[in-house]
Amino acid sequence: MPSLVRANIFQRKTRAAITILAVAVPVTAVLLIVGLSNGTLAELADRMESVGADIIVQPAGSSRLLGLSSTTLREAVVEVIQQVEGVQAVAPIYFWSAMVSGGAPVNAWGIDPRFEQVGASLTYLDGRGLDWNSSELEMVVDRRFAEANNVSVGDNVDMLGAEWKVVGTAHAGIGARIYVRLSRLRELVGQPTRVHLIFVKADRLDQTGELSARIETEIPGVQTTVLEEYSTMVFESIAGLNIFRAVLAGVAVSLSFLVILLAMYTSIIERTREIGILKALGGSKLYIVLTIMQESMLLSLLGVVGGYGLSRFSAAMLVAAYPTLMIQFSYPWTLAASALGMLGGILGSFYPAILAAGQDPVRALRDE
Amino acid sequence: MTMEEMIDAKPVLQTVALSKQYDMGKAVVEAVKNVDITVRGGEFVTLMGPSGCGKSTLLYLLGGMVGPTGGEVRIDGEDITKLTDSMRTLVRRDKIGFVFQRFNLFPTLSALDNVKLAQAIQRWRNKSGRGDPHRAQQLLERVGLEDKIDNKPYEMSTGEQQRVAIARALVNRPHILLADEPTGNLDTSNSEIVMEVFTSLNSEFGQTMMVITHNPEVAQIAHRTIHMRDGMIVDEVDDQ
Repeated sequence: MPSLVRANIFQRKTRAAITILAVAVPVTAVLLIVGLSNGTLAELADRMESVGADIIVQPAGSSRLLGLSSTTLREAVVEVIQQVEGVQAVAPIYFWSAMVSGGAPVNAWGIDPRFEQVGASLTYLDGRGLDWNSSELEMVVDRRFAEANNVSVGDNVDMLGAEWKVVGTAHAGIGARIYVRLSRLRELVGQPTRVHLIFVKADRLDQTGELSARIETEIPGVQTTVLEEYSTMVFESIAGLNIFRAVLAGVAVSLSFLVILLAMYTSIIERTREIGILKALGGSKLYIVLTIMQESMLLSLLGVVGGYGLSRFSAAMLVAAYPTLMIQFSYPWTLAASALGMLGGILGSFYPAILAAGQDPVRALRDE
Repeated sequence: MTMEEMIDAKPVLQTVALSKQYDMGKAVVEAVKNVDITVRGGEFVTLMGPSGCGKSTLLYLLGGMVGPTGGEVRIDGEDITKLTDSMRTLVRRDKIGFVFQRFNLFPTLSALDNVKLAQAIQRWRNKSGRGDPHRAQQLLERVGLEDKIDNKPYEMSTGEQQRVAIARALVNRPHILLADEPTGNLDTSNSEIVMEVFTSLNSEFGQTMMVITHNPEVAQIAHRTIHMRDGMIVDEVDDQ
């Protein structure tokens, strides 16, 4: 049986290649989209946790994904939080989805000296940190942003219709990709007394949970997140993400199913006579079903392996083209996408295989 | 095989009042009518008759590829008409070898792989499978194709393709070989080669054979010729 399966695949190379590709593409799509969403969320969570603070305070009802929330708090809240028992330091943040010199949007954070007091420690590869007393519009960018946009210390870049001077390049991985002075950013967007979030450093690490609850109780209109739990909460807070992934997986398996169904169905029509020969030689119905299904399973397996390779290759190309992109392949999703690709192949070949096994051998042998 | 030996041999294939009707809408076509045949072990029988007289239908009935409307087909004494389609397939796999007019080889497989495929089918889920790994090659050598074993069908002449088909039909040591006009698509020289193969298989190995043919020269080398007309046996001639 294997020699017949192998021979069929090698003899019909174009059909086999298209079928393999048709399984590989949906597998690639699932792995890439899941990888992109995982990578982006994981990086966001990691960057937030790397700030070094213990709690985030936001307006009640805001999304924990910073870019998705536009609601703000009055700056006076910062001072109120500072007075809460157990709070060691606070740092207000105003963020802006910035298109620097017409490039892709990235998060820019407006910070003040208190940012370092909550634990944030930016280390510089080149240049220096923001000068809190300078009257100029200064900007610090991280290494990834600098590489992606070919920006270096001393360059002037355009943001919010103004020209900013890049004064430092920091290690990537903490907070935002761009840092500017809080006051200058808020002036430019016309919200001089508003903040989007407040980082809080607790006096005692073992009491962050209690402190978080206390802040929510004492200050109406805010919500808190313990940063230790931020990663889990970010993934859980995007309720639609898992539905989207499930739909995507469903579309992928349907595509594999339809392509394999079509490929195997046309193959059966094409090989009616050969199936008649198998029956004349004493091939049972089960033997014929398994022969057809082995072929489709081998094609699906090659498609899954191809999809795995194609997704890795596409990811490398994407990251090369857009260095700020984060793609994180997940082992369970790789398994799931592989299983779905194989499932599509098995389901798609089942009907043609049953059709083949049920053929009248005499009629099949007479078939031209 | 002498006439006495043949008479003593057990029947390998036997039909009793075998009939086959085809329902063609308003008309019923009687392709085979009350046919009684007995073929004993080691016999070489040819089946002759005009086109459309029911020869091929009879052969497919004997091979269990179609079910009869009435009567019995006994292979080694077992009535295969009582068996399910799956059971008949197993009988065909283990006891019958088929050779077709149009060879019916797999175009994607080499000569050797075509023969081995029949072996693989026989061995598949069959604990008593007689899988001799060298038999396929030996048979191809026996039919004079030792230098063509790796050739695909399209790389061989029609005569060579038919010899591959004969090797394939014999690889599982069938109790009876059924051939449907095996020389029908061959030129004279290739027909002679195929006939020689049949003759030697029967005389040297005692292979039981039933061959449909229009070729009187094939009939001449057989022990017996059965003549059919309009689905019935009209004459039987002992050729030796």
